[in-house]
Amino acid sequence: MILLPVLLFFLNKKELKKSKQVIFLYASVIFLLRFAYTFFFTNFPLTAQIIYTLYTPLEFGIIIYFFHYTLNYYFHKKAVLLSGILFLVYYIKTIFSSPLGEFNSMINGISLLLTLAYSLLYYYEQLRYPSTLFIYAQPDFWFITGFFMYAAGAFFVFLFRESSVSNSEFLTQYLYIHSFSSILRSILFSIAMITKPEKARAPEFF
Amino acid sequence: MFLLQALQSGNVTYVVYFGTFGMLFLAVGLIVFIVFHQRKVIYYQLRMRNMQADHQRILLQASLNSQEEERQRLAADLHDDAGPLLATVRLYLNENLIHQDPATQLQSIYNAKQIVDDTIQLIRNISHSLIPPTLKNFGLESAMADLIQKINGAGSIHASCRFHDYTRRIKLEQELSVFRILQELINNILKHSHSSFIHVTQNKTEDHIYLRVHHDGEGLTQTEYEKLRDVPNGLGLKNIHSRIRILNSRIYFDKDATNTYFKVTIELPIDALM
Repeated sequence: MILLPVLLFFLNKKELKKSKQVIFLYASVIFLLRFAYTFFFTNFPLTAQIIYTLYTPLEFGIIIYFFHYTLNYYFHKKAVLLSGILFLVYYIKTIFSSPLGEFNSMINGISLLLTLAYSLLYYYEQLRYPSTLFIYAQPDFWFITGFFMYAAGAFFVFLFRESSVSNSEFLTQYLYIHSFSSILRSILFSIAMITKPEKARAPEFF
Repeated sequence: MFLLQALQSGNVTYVVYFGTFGMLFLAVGLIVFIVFHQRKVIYYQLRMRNMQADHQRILLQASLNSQEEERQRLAADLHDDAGPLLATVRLYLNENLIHQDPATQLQSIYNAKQIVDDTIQLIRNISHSLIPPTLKNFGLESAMADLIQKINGAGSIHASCRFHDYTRRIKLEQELSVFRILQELINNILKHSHSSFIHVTQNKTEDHIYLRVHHDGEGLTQTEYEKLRDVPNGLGLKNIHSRIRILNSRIYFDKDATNTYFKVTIELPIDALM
């Protein structure tokens, strides 16, 4: 499903909006990492574990870049950059202190909370200083809503995954909820990919 | 509470279901709120912009009306006063052509000269009403002193004027606007306030020049001024507002703390000085 926005990006290639390129990169990286993980899982478990470990920092790095580019206000940009770098530093520290390839609920929970916070910053900016008449006519709105819905949907399953790894009922539930969140995100990204940005600007503040 | 009980009993799946549902519900609610609220904000801004455009249109119309009135007044002065005078001179000069008697001619020329003198005086008065020569030559302080003297001459009201720090004059075109505002304010006080005194003062700080008109009659507050300047009829307050905007300055209408007199303050930026 994550390939859908990638395909739609190619279909709308004429319009090279930077945020679309970043999401194209994001979706491609997620797809390739998942594919590589599945590919190496049986025969090369160590490589698969390394890929698994790299997944979160790569994904979150692109998210930081996306929000840093999309947000308009200097303070917000700096807050995203600073919190993102701090998170990545903390993540690298935990790599050495915990077994390779093991799911860390706290780290993933924090990354989702940060994504939620960044999305709220974007929504705040749009409320405080609206830049367009119809917010949903902007691709960025759909991209950020995709991140927001995914983070909101996956937050609780990520939070309990580490402690409930032996609970088969939970794992099924995890699969359903996580898949639902991922599909929702892909659909919202796809809407963003086919949305043409509105030309008319909102009136300036006076 | 239910969630806590579920968590304690180790039944994580309920917590996850309720938690996820709650988070998604909140997220959707927030997004819907943002979409609608943002649209409301935009419509509010558009409405404000339209109102401002309407206001600008009213001011422009007032300014045009004012110009038109001034032109009509000038036309009337020239037509009703200068026209007949010059026609009379023409008559006297024609008479000279008909009557060759030197004594009659002399009398006729003398009369024509008298009328030409009157016409010169009349044209000078019209010109002075357009820009007072005292203001042009000696500045706002002298022009205000002249105006105050004229008001005192009428005897019905006591007027005074004090400029505390006016060593540097305001730029001429701006000085004329300030003078017109003060003239309009004083005119309004004379017409409507039934006050017993008018006192005009000038002060200066590092950033601003302040001109104040005090009087003890019936005056306007800031709210009343803002309401009245936007009503369709009446030009005076609109012209004041328009001039204040052109001067990039502010005007405040308020009542003194002791409630004994009204005060109008014009605040000009210091760079209005020459």
